[in-house]
Amino acid sequence: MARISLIVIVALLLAGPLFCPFDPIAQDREAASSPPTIHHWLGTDDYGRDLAARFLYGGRWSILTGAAATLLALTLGWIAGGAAGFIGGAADAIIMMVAEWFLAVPWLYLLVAARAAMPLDLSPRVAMLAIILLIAIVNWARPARLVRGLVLTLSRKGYVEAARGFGVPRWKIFVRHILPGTAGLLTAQALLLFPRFVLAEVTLSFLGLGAGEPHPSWGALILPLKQIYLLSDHWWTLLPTLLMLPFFVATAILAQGLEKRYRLSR
Amino acid sequence: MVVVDQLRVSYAGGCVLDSLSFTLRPGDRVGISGASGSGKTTLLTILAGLGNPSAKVSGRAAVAGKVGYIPQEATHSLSPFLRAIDQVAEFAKSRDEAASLLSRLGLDERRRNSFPHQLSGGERQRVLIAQALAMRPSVVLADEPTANLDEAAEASAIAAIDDYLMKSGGALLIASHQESVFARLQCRIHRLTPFTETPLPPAHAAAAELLLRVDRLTKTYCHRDFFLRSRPAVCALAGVSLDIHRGETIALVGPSGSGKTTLARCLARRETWDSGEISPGEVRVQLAQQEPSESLNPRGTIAAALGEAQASPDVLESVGLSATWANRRVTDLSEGQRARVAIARSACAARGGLLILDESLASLDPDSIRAAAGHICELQRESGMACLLITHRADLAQSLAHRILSIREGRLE
Amino acid sequence: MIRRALASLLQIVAISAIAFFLFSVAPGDFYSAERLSPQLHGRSIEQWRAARGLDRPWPVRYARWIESCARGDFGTSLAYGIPVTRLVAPRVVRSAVILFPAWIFGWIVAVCTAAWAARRRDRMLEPAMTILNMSPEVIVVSVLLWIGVALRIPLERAWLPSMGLILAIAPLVFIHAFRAVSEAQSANFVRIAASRGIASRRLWIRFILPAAANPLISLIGPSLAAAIGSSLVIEAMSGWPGLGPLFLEAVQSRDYDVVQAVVVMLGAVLTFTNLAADLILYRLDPRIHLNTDGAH
Repeated sequence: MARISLIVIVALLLAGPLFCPFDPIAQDREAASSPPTIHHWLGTDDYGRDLAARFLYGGRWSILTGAAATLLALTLGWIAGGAAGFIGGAADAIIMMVAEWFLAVPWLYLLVAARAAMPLDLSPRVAMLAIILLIAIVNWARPARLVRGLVLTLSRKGYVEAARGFGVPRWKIFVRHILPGTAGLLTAQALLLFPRFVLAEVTLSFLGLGAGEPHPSWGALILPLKQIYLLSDHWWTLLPTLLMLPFFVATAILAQGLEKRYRLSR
Repeated sequence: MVVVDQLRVSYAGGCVLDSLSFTLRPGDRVGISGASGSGKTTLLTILAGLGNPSAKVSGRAAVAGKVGYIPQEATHSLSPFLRAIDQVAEFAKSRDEAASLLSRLGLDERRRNSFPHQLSGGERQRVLIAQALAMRPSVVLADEPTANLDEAAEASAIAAIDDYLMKSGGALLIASHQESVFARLQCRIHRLTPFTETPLPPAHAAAAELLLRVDRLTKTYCHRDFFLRSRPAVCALAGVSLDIHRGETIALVGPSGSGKTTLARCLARRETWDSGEISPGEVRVQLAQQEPSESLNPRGTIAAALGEAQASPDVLESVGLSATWANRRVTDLSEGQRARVAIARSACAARGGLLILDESLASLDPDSIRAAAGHICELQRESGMACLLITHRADLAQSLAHRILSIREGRLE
Repeated sequence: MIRRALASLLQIVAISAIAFFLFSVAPGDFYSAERLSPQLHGRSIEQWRAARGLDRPWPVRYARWIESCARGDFGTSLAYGIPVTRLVAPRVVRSAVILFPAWIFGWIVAVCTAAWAARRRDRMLEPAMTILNMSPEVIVVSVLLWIGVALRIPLERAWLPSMGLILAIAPLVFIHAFRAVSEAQSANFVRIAASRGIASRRLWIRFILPAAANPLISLIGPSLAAAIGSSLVIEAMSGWPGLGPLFLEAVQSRDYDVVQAVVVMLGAVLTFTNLAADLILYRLDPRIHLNTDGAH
């Protein structure tokens, strides 16, 4: 159920812009600040931009950023954790110590600080790449620690000990017996991190550190929430925010189910 | 007190207990005997109300009154956060009573104030016995209560249980594989499976040629104290000397924690030792571990598993499987079949050297044991391989081995 | 334990170095952001930079900065022209006033509910809390704002950020507490103690809760980190003049001394929290003395 709805939501956001008759950036001053009509399903903002179009295009942007960041963070964590578990000794101690440092600062603060180190006025494409890179760099540590723990657990398994007893080379054991064992953990982590990273992008955009106006992004759509008193007049500007919820709820349910299954299978 | 009527218990793997009926009246003492896997533990856990939820139970198993259950497995049965005395006092009328019970079972003041992880397996076992007696049950259910105990401790444990039953007039249901325990408690014996010797291939005559000499091996495990200095903690091997000849089978028996597994790991060079010598160094040694079925990667195929040991699929034939099974996935095989494959490939890799079976046969069904033992015998004849069999099962040791050695506290006797 | 404490100190130094390095390699500084400001002319920017030592290579500046930090001087805010300590301290207090009560209250509520739910073997609360845990703070706070507006509750009070924080913390703690208590309940020694007919109260106090406390103590640090992270967004949204808005402002005007000071301070607070949690664990769990002391 959650799986189907998540697929539908993501498909809608990825393909939706194709069917959307409005340009998310085009301004229509005539129809500025209009409540939902047959024409503009979610109404328009102060500049007369169609909110439905901005929701769909923004969603595609946010979700792609989140997905790419998840992929990159997990790859980094997988390499670091795998290397720490495989090499062991001093390399393990150093990698895990650095991971500990990254875990010691609240990641949102670290993310914002890192974003601050970059120029604010980037083109949307560069900003997207920068955000993906930053999210991954700030968040590699937790997956790395989990992967390392799993590598150590797996290397105590009976079949690894047996292979070692038969004189199979270390790297071969690692490739054949240990790496495939991390797949379950990585999938469960991916589903856990994906919504979180989408949210990180949304939060950065919301704080004015994202792609920047006039580029559509979910974070920019939440901006009207800052002027709370406007909301009572322009209630429809809250609609995009409410429409984002199903995505987060669906991923939450799916992630929980997957994590539970993974924990039981161990 | 206890009524069991047409009890039938089955797990996904098969039926464990079938149409079992008996009753216990106050003062009755019944010993349950049976091979491992015959359902002794299942019966006791169901009576104690701790049955495995995945088991299918039909029939009736009812107990009237308080049940004092002594589990077999002592490591996870005690809270790690309470001292021994508190574990018992929680169920006793008073702290003094708990203390006197524990001291009767041979736990001194220092032991009584220790946490479970600081106690040995046998001491934990005695804490569990004290716990069960302290709550003044009307039925005592004991599952191998003396398995980890040395003779003195066993005697005091049996005396404590006997005393309690005399005074309270309670009933006893005890499972054990040592029939001598039943005799000392004056139990009526109820056999779950007919007592038969497992028919095994006869051991052939061993050659006198020396394969491996173990000379005064010692090994002490250390732990680090508060200032990170290492302190000797457990003495696992205290000067073990042993000659192993080609083609022979040696059984090594002893209580848990006596150094059996450490000796095996040292022989297989999976662990270093402090002093002493194992010579010559170039003999092939293979260690088949306790749960042989777990030594196959569940994600792989049989062929891949055999390939690791440079064994050909033909060995499958010699343990009663078909060579065409090589392409099957490991998960398609049953536990017993996996164990056969695992032991067969270890034996192949140990050809001409030493094969160590560390309780590897203990959990197997008789058919699998027969198949594995036959394969090992064949290899011994053919290549002069020696076999070190670590086991707690007397029947296996007697029928498979040329000689039986017992080890206690790191010393061979 | 001594080594553990030393590792914590090293960690704080490392965080400061990372924070410093990040901004040293960053293109542009406060003055390039102020480039267009009418109060500054082309030449005086260079002079300002020289006066603040911004033209030196970064290791020199780092050494100087560490040295002044050790003296308790975290530099001067370029935007406000007052010492960072004087700028940050009142904001920290304002944040802490919200953060700690909400954090503690969230913990109490979460642990009590979790124990209650685990005892009843309730299956509905856990998925609900998971959803709440995953739902973005931004949306939770906006829903709160919406309620506030609808009920005409004045928004200037502290209730909004407090509620937001509690809603951010409690589900996280609940999920872990529920799992810990459920696992403790089905632990072998608890089931055996229960089969011996022990009173339910004693069973909980002596057997279940000590076993469940263990994973929860390791959660103290991460939960505080999560709370601080959430407070950044929540304060920014609800307009609470705490550390979050100051931090964002400093980030946008590239007032690096302030950003660095905040990052290092948070790193230090969390490092010490983790250390304290480890110490508690060391006191409470008798097994640690033997097993893991040498592992660190």
